[in-house]
Amino acid sequence: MTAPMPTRELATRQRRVRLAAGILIVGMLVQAQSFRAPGLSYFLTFALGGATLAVAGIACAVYALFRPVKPPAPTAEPPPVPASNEEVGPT
Amino acid sequence: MPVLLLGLVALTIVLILIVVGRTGLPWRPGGRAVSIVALLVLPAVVTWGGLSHHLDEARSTEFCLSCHEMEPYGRSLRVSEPTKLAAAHYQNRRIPREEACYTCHTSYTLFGDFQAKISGVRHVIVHFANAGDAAEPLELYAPYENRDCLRCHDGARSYLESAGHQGNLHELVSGAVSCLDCHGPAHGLGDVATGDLWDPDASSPRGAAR
Repeated sequence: MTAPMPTRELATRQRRVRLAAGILIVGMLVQAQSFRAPGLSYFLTFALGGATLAVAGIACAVYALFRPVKPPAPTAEPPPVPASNEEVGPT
Repeated sequence: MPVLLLGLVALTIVLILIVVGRTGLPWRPGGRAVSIVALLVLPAVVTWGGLSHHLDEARSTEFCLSCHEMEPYGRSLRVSEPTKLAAAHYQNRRIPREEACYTCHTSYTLFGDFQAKISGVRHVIVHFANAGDAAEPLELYAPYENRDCLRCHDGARSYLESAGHQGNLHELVSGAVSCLDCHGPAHGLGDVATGDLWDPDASSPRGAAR
């Protein structure tokens, strides 16, 4: 059984997926609009709008699904504080 | 409208919303496959299908006539002048009306379709580059090839036995003599101005052009 994904990583991945999904949905809607009738304007709507957004959305989806999330950079920890004078050593 | 493509678009959008709606689905067992289909496979299929559909539609007469520069040429297909090639071919259904322009203006050679598409791109560039400028008479990029006439007419009895072709058959095949030297110009733009146009809907008892 795989370990559950950390909350931060899951949120980052979900954000990437939503971005890709948003671009793809708009691209699909623009393509559907371009299918209305034959004509240069509809063709350009498909080529410059729908197809471009679809390609961009697919690229974002590949990034979202397969690109690992970088772990947070480790912060510099302060030196440990001795619990009592005995740990410091004899003076 | 392409019903199948629209159905695929709808299916794609629904699946994408499902993937987005269920948090973490792409990283659950089985969810990765659904996500790949929804976010990668289906959009690619729809885009490829849409491109194929538009390339197919780009061959239609309606597509060619969607640019304003082509309006007089579209009207020339319906002039009541039987000596004009474009009108005679279109009105007598010697070429498919749905692809009238493409039929005559595409070479039948191996890369004829590809060259026609490249010419189309060039038309689009010229269309936008000359936007707002005074209209200039349109000319073919290259002289019209006899082979694009002969791919249909070569071997036909009316062509072989025509009095005007006797003694010129070899020259017509080689291109030394152009078909348009006698049969041109193909589009009767001068007749368009007179307004005497044939209406296929008015003549047909079915009331609809096929």
